[in-house]
Amino acid sequence: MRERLRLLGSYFKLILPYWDKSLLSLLCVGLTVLFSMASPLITKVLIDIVYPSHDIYLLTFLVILGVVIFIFSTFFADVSSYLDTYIHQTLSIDLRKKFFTKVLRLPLKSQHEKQVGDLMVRVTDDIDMIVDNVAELLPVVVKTLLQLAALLAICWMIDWNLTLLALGGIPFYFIQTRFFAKRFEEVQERSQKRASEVYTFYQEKMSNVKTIKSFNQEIYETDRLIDKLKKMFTLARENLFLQFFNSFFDATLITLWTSFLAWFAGYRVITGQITIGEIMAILIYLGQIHQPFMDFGEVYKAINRNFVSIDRVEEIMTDEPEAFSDIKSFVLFQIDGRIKFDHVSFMYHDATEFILKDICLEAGPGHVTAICGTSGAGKSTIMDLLLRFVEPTEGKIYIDEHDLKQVSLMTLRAYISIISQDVVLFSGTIRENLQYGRKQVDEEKMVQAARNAEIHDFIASLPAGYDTLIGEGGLDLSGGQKQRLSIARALYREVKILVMDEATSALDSITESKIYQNLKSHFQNRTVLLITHRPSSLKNADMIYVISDNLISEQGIFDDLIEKKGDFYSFYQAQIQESEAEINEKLKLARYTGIKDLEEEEA
Amino acid sequence: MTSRIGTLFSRLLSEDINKQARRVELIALLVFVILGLFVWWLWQFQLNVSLVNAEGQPVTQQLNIFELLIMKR
Repeated sequence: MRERLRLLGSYFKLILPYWDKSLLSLLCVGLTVLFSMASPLITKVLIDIVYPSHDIYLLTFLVILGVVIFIFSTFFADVSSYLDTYIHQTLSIDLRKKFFTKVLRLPLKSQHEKQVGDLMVRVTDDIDMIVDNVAELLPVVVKTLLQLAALLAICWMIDWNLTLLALGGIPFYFIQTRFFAKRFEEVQERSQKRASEVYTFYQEKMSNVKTIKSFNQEIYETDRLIDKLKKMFTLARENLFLQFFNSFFDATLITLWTSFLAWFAGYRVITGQITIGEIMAILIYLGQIHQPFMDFGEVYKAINRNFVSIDRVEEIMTDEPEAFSDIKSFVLFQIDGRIKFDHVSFMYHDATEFILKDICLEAGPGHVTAICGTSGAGKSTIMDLLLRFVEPTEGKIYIDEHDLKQVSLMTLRAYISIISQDVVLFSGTIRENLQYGRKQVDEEKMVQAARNAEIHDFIASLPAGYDTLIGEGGLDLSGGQKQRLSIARALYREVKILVMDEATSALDSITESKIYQNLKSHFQNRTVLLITHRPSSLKNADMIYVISDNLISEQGIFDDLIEKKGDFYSFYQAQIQESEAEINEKLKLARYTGIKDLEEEEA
Repeated sequence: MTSRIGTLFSRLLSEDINKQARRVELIALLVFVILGLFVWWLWQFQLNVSLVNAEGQPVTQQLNIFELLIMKR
């Protein structure tokens, strides 16, 4: 019960910012209800007074009054409907904005725990349901209560016996409504879970079509989808059956009840206790009583169903966000870009082993600091720690002299640019992608960044140049082109700290060395962290940290580390051999393709 | 005529929703006042109604519309 009240409180909290419009809408609804009460009373006067007395003047007056009431009623109904739509749309935008902002502000840890499909259902279906219900809840409740009160009051005035009998049916109606509402809520909860599963499935499979195709699993995945859809539609059928039984019971109960009332009213006319005009009015009112009860029942069931949606949305909204711009945090106005990891260790909260142990490293402006090691050694976690996507389990990280924990996230991330091996470009033009994260546009600098990343010539060769659409429905870029664009994007931000996490992994060594050559001037006064396992990149570093078994095993400059013949030497040799093997494979393939081409040409 | 309706529609749709809602509210309040005046006038306006009394005699009574509508036999 307390949980219900809490959720109901959440409902009213949502409508609170729109209280003025909501109040006006309710006033309009109230007037519309009052106007709808007039017509049966006019009918009563016509039958009982106007027709028997042949009063043309009164007849004209009543007809004109009816028209005026209709005009007012339509106007107020339309105003109410407009305001409800306004609340609906504004609330929909507002709620989605809050939800989206919240999802973006959640720490990466909880982002990983949530499935994208599930979040999609919450931001679309669940919010739709809440908004629909919140916008119509108050008007329907007020309309229904007013309508019922007015109907019963007028009926009471005409004949209290009949009204008392009419009131007797209400408890039966509420018992059956409550019975069905509970079942609807259960089905709704299961339906939303199933919908989340299906969305997650769609999202995962559609973004990995290449893998499915390469494993020849199209039929298998389609079967899996059908299985999931069948389960979802079983619930939809359950819902349909429930609706069928519910409306059957609703209609039967109300028909039996109003029929009995109609019989009793007829009996009262025959025995001369009420007039024909009065029974006409009562019969019209009884016909109208049906609707508010139906509406009220629907709203009650909808509220119960929507408690599920409110709960699901609130679950995300109440999650602890990142301290993005905490008032207590330190705002970085200007930095030199000195980075210091002071005995930093890290492990995930539910893990038992450290990913990084006792890491001590320093990087400064004008220097390229490389971090190398085998896959899974924890190199990329260093980047996550620096950007505070995760917090150190032990130790401290400093930026200049400031403890990273005390620094405002918003300002910290404004000083760091990342070029990751997982390139993400958004649908839009090349220009939009390059300008992502930069408020002021400087065409010259943007082109220079593209030149440094060795992508300008390619862009210039395109018919639309920098305005070429990429991503969905646009130009399909190769892995190398995407990587060069992401390098250009990061360079264009012109920040103090540049983190290059396997930033040139999709590029050939010639392009890679050209880019590093171009970047030499860009690296001046900037702190560059180079996370890589490519030997060719390591030669550009002023300092190399080797991570082995989750800790720093060696550090120094390239030549010293090679001479030392330790971990770095073995790592370097292994990488060289791997690269050579790769080149040999490519050469073999090239030769084979060449021979095939020659054979084809001869044929 | 059609083009005028079209222009009106595009004007309504291109308008800022908050401004539009504010205007609708103002118009609604104005109509509330008009309705209030109309109800006041109806309250004052007396109708001559021919009725039959308990003895079956025809009588003429002066009533306003509200009294007439809720009058019991």
